Amino acid sequence: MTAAPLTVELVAGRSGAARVEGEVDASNVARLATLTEGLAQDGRVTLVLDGLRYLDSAGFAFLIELAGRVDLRLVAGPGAVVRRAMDILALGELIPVFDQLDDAG
Amino acid sequence: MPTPMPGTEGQNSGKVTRAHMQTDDDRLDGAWAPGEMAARVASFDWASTPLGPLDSWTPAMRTVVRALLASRFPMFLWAGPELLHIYNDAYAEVIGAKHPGAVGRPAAAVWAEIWDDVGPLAGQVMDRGETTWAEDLRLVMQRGGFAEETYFTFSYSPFHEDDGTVNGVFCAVTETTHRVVGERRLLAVEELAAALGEPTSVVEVARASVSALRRSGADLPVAALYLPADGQATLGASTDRSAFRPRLDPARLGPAGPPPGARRSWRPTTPTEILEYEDRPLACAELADPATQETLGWLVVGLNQQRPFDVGYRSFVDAVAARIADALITATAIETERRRFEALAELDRAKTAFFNNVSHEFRTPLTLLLGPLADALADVDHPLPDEQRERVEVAHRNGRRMVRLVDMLLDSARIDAGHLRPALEPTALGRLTADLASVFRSAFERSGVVLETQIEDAEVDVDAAMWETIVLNLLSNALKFTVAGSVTVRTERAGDTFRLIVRDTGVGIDPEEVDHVLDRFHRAVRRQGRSAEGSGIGLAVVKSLVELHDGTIAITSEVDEGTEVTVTLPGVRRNAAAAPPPRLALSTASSALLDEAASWVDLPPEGATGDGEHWPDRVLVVDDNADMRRYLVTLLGSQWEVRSARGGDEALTAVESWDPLVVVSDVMMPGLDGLELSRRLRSRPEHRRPLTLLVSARAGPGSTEDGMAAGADAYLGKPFTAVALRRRVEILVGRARDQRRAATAADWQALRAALGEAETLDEVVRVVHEHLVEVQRAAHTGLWLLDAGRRRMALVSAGGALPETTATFDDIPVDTPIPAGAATAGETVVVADLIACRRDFPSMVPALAAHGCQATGAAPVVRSDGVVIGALGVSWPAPLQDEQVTAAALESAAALVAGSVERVRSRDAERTVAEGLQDRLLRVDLRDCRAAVAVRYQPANRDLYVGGDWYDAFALDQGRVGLAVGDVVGHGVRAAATMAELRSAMAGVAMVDGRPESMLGILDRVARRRRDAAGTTVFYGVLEVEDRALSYVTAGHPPAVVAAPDGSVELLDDGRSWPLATRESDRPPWVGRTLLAGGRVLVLFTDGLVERRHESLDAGLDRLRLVLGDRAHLPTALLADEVVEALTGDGHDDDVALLALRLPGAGDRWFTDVVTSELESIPASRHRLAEWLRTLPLDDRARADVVLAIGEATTNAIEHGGGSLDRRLPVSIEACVDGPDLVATVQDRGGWQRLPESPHDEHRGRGLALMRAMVDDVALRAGRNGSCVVLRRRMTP
Repeated sequence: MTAAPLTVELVAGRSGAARVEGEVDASNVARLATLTEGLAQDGRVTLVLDGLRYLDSAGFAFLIELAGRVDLRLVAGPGAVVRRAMDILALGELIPVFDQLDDAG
Repeated sequence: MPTPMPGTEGQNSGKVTRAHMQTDDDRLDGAWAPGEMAARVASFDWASTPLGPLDSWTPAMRTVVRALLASRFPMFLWAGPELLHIYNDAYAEVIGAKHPGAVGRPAAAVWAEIWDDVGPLAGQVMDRGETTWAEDLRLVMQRGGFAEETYFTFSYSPFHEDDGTVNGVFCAVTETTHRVVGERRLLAVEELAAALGEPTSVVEVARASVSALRRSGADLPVAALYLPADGQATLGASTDRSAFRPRLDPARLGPAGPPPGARRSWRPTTPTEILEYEDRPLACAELADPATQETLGWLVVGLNQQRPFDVGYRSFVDAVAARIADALITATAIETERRRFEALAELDRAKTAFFNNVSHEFRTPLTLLLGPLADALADVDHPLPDEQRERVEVAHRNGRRMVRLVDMLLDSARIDAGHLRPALEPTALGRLTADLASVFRSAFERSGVVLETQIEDAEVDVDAAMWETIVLNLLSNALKFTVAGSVTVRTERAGDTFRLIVRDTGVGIDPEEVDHVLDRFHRAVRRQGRSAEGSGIGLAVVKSLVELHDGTIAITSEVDEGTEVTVTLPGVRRNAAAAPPPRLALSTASSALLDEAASWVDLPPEGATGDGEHWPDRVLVVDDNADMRRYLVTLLGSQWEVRSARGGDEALTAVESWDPLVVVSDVMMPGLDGLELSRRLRSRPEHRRPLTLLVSARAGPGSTEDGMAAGADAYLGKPFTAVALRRRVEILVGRARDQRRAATAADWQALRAALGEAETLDEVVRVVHEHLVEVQRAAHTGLWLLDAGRRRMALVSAGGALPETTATFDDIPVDTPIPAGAATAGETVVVADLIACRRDFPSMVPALAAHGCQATGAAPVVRSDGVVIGALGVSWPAPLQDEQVTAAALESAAALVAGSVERVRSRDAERTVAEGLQDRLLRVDLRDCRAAVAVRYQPANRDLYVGGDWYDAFALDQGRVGLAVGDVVGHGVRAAATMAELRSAMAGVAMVDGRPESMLGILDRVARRRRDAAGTTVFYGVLEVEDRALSYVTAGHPPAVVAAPDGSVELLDDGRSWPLATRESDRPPWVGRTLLAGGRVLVLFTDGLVERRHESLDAGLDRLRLVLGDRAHLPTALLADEVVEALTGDGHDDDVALLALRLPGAGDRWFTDVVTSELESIPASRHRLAEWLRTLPLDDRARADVVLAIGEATTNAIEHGGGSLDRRLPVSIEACVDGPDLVATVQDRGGWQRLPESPHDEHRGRGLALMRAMVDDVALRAGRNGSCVVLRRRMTP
């Protein structure tokens, strides 16, 4: 019994940005919180979610909570697995969501 | 020099002195005192100890040693820092086998086994010089070759050397073992005696004695009482039920028969014969009744191994056995007596019921007999010849008499059954009695017997009708047995009591008969009276009626002098002024009695002065000829209330609204003629049907037949005389009354019977509504019950379609005149014409009128303890003609309703208990079971009682799961309790030995101990989860089934045995085996699922096969739902319990996973699911959707239905391909009422939103055993 696979990788050359890959669910959302801690540069965090294969409401809850603390931007392209769920929950109304990392400014 | 103290101390000191004189104080090698210990101490090799040789001891030490050696009181000195043991002869006895080895040895070595207790005390003395005191200290010491429980009172004090240093412990000690243990045992016997103070049953004695002995664990570590049953010794009660064998051969417990005169005999026994496990000494005694030598039971007690089984111990156990034996003797006697009493009571009930039935049966033919006789006597047109008349009169008189007797029997039976209750009202009883006596006056005058009355009035609470019966019976008896002289009726008030004395100067009663004349059916052999008639029941009824008033009746009699009967009633009111004057309205029975009495004195019967019924004497005259109409109205109007109608149609309307008793109609009329009118009236309900008298010129036998054929009740040819017409009408009025009375009685009987079957308040109201519609043409009926605060009334149920606005009546304040007024005032209220009274009830009339009501009424619903609990309200579509009749009927209906409400409510209360019980019982504990399980319980539609069906699943050791389904015979709380016992026995046994083959034998034994458990059917299986192997046994239960996802179904019909406790069988049950691999689902159920009336079990099983075959791939929760629905949707007679189970795995069309409820188990499960989904025709996106939806449901189930942190409950995830759909369920095993939807929980809300978006349908369900989310998604390849 292990937590879901998850890696958080800093994006080279982009301070405060990281790629989140693997799966996020209730079993490892705390780990995601740990891995993204201290990521903020000038209060901004950009998470690239294109490599996420699974993101459930526990993960969304974390993202929304994080957005309350930092200036959070999410990147998930139209082909991203998690994009559909983000759209259903209208996450874009709470957190800016961009198709590409470059758009996130 | 002080005077030496008398007593032992003085003697001891004398001896010490003598020893001192005999030995040189300074010499150290001689005996210091006489006795063994003195010699031993003197000869001991002290030089090899740290104390050194004797001669090196300090004077202080020598003095102390000398003193203790000389003492007869047990004493010792632990000398030096090593605490070397020096003690005297008395102490040597105390320490038993430790002597003499203890001399000179360190105390810690000698007393190793108690050093934990006493070592610290000694340390306290040595280190701090303190003196200790211990009283009755319990020490388990090895002094007799075994660990012995002992008690000592002692004091340790410091031994000071001359220089003041502490160099040892000095102790004087008393052994208190015998006293402590003795007191303890005495107390135990006393407690036992107290616990057995009032034995009520043998079982209770067993329970109470064992429960009392439980507190005597020190002397009796275990105790059990076996009771004789079927030649076996059966465990009645024990301190440790699992230790004692439940049934034994009595030979193991005692000798074949007790020795003469002995109650008990002790017998050493081998523990293994009696105890299932453990090996401890036991003593057994057979308890016998010394009088009958009958064995009452066997007492088995465990013995305290730390006490020798000596005389004291033995007599203690004897005393215990004697107490229990005494209690058993008493209880047996009480039980015998109780059984005898119950048998007698049952006999009496049967007798009463018999009389009741017989009386009813007699009444109908008698009525039919009397009618024609009365007609024949009253027939003016065809008068009987004198000889015949005389004969018919005799027949008629005796027929009436028989009716009266039957009525009395009926009354008597009702009194016995407790159905007759006096309606107590303050009554001027003296005056009523005088009035009643005056009714007899003419009969007395004719007989020549003087009737004297001496009346003192008093206001008494009595039932006037009953009093009438009492007085008239006594007077009729007095007249019957008095040929000449006088009868005196006297009433008087004596303090709080009222006395009626009826004294006659008649023939008297033989002395030996006097005591029996009040007994029912005892007819005294009496001397010459006016009539030989007598049933022996009149006086018995009088006695019963008097007793219903808490009064007494006494009879004194002298042969040939006369008889005096004294009735004494309590309940005299202080101020008599307020009593209303008594109304004298003789009942029909009383009239008959009067008639009868009159017949003895050759007096022609007078018409009854009124029969107390409510039907007004109404006669409707129908004739198209105005002159004839007028003539008839005038002719009949003097005697009856008469209205007229001009033709048949008008007559029908009048009958409907006015309800006459008799219709006198011309035959020939335009329009609806007399014959047709008769025919139409004939079809009316009996209790509202007027009798018809057709009057026609067409006289003659033929026309009579025509009229009769048309349904006319009598026929009169023109011309007729006024007398003949009046006679006819008179007879018909009487008959109409009789007929209505009979019909009403029958209606009430039917209503009573129907109410008796009603099981809910809705049914009660429906039944009474139907009755009121039928009998009273009611439009609506409602039952309102008061709330606890008695401020509002709630409509419990209504009959008759009230339109949408019923809400107006749902909940009404108690000041609403109707129906609430009836409840608050406790009186029946009837408004006969709402429109006419609209000003009196401004708020109510419009609402009722809106529902087409023109009359309304309500009667209080009064509980049997006299408390008003609500009201029965009724409304009518038309104004009422006869408020009195209606009010009386309504009141009677309300009374019947009250009884039913009480019954239904108490039943509801019982049902609630039973349901609660079942709810608790049917929670399946599957904490550790890695299988998907769904359970369903559905009580029978027909019977609201909770049944004895159960299912169970429990985790055993080593990955095994016990599964059971069973059915206890019967319903209700008892069945539920039996079920609980079997169920817990089962779970308990399973923990110890879960093998199916052991289970049945043990359950059978359990069932034999509980009467209601016999016939219970059980299916029990053990599932090895890892191997997927199921082994099972069946005790009379329908076979369980296993269905594979491909639709094949297997019946588990190996391993069959008889229902529990129905057969003796030594043969171990056959064990059936099957595999639950490959997604095969196991379905356990009770027979209610498959059994239908008029159908074999096989037919039901075939149906189950079909239904299950189509659904075997479904998740267990859906499968359970659909199977129960498909098989019981059209109603079922019995309760249904069902358990479906599937082990985790994945296959062609199915997926099952069970996750232990840690969040860490979510990803692995998700991956398994995703892998399975890959085998289905789903694109990547659809697959991701399904995975997310099920993932959300799973997380939710774990977080909210997964139990608490220390008690994690598994969550099962099941999915299947169902036609074009993918269906999945996620089931937790938490409590119920926990739907995973809460507006306060954003997170959960998001989860739910995701679920709903990802699949086509999401259904949430909460059940007794957890909640379930059902997801459905169409697959598009």
